[in-house]
Amino acid sequence: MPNGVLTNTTEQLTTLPFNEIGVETILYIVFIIVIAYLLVRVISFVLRFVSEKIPSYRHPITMLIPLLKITIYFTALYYVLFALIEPDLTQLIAFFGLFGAALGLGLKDLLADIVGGLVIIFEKPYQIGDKITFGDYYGEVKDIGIRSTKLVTPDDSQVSVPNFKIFSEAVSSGNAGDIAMMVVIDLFIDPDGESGKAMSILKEAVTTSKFVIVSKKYPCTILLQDFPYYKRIRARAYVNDLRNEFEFMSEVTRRAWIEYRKLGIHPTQYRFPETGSSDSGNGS
Amino acid sequence: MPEDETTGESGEEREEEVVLFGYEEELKEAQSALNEYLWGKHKNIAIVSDPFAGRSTLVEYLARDYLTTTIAFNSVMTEKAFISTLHDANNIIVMENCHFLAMRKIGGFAQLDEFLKFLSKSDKLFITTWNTYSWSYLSAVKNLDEFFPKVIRLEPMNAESLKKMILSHYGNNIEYIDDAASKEKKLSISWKFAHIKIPFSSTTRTLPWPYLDLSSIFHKKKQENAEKLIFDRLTRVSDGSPGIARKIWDASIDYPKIRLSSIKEPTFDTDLSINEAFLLGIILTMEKIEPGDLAEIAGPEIDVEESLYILMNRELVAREEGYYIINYRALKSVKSYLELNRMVW
Repeated sequence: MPNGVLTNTTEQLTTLPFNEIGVETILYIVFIIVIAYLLVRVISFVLRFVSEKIPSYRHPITMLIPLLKITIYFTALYYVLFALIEPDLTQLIAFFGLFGAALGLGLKDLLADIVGGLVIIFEKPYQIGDKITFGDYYGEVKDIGIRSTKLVTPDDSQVSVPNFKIFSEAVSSGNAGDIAMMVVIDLFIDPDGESGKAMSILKEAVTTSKFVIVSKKYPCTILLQDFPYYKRIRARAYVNDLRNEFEFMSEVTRRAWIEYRKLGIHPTQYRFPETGSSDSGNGS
Repeated sequence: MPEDETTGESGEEREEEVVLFGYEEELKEAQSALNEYLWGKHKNIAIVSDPFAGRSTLVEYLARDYLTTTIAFNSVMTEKAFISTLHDANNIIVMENCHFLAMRKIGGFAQLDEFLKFLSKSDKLFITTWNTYSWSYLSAVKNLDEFFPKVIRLEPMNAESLKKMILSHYGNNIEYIDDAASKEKKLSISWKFAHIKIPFSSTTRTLPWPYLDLSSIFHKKKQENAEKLIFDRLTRVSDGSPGIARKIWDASIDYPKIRLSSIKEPTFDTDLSINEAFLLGIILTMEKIEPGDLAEIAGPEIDVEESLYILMNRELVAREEGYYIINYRALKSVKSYLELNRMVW
């Protein structure tokens, strides 16, 4: 920054009209912060409650939460700043210039998280309620905060991923804002098993599941692939609510294997190439 | 088992005058497809509707001017004997309640597959009726819509059509009584603007906020016509379904008087587990089902008796002549709940 500009900015700041900070001002600031915090909690609670009652609209409703959070906190910040100073426009610009520089130097990670949060909210690489893989973690997005995104993994652990990682790491969302999500179910059968029947049964096991949604938009596909010692029957179908992902997989697998056994379709077996002997495996 | 109406007991009913209200457009559409068939253009017809919407009345009305064979399925079909009836049937075949050809279980589509196989090789015209949700499900799973290029959906009726339909049975000498005027008042929400002075600044900002108008509760509005209020409420409660509207009307009327208060808007507890919701969805899509068939679909994972007890306790499901059916008063709530939870689509 040229010397003249820096001197000018410093001069502007030294003449900032700071208000007298008394007990009343402190109470006012505390009041603003408490109100903002309570407002965020209440709005989050209400929106989450409503979204759970209307599952089809769960994502659009919950995505209002981070947006409202940021709006409320920035409004609170605005009120707090104006409680401390009463600047004119030039002073305000000068103040935010230096404030920004201070943030950039001292709190750059926090600032990056906040910017990352804004990018997540507006660009929507994922939304609250999505099942995503972010970095090394997979889980349902429970909250998009100002600083971090909270995921709940399948084993019910809560993971906080800093928002700035959105700039450096790939994120994959299994459902991209939809409540339905594609699930892949693999069954491995003995290479001698009748693959046509096995595919047909898996298709029926999937399409008759209580967790499935099937339509032109949510198709069900059954694929077969041969491997040296087994055949893989793969179902790609949509679960009606991503929260039922694992129950869906489990239910389909169990029902399909019951039918396979009735038809003499067996799980793949361990084979030892050097002797050609086999040992029964547990395919289900 | 299917009933062949050309020889079966419902043949007598066909002698009665069938009167059709509200589905004139749908009838024209079906008649046009039928006439096209007579001129050599073959398009099988699927008439799709919710329960109680009057599918049977429509096909009966449609078929009366043509030489047809009618097969009406009454419960889940487990044998393919009906296929032999199709071989000997007239060129125009009416098949009612075709959703009974499939069960949502592994191996439950055999009869439907047989029927579609027959249909794809046949020159005969098939006029079929289906439950809306079964149709959507089977279209996705079995590509039904490819076999029936002409799909006629019976949409909910408006108050005017329901009124015509009901008064055709009861005549015009009905005395309408609005005894619930005060309860009909509605709240209204509008936007107001508050001017807020920003603290520590001379700026004033305008902030919009929702305003709840309670005045309609305290001030009596101009009284609306009792007849209109009654038919509007009947349409709302029945969700535009002629069958349900008729049942509610029959239960509410104290001939020749009908009171607005007698047409109640019931509420139901639809906070269900996934198993209960699944069974409810099956009953909705099949329209009526025997306990044994329901248990087969549910499999060992679901305690059918327990779930049915809960559904009946909440008055969502009723038992009639050995079948489980959706309580007609709860149909609107059941549809809405299951659609929102994507158990039916």
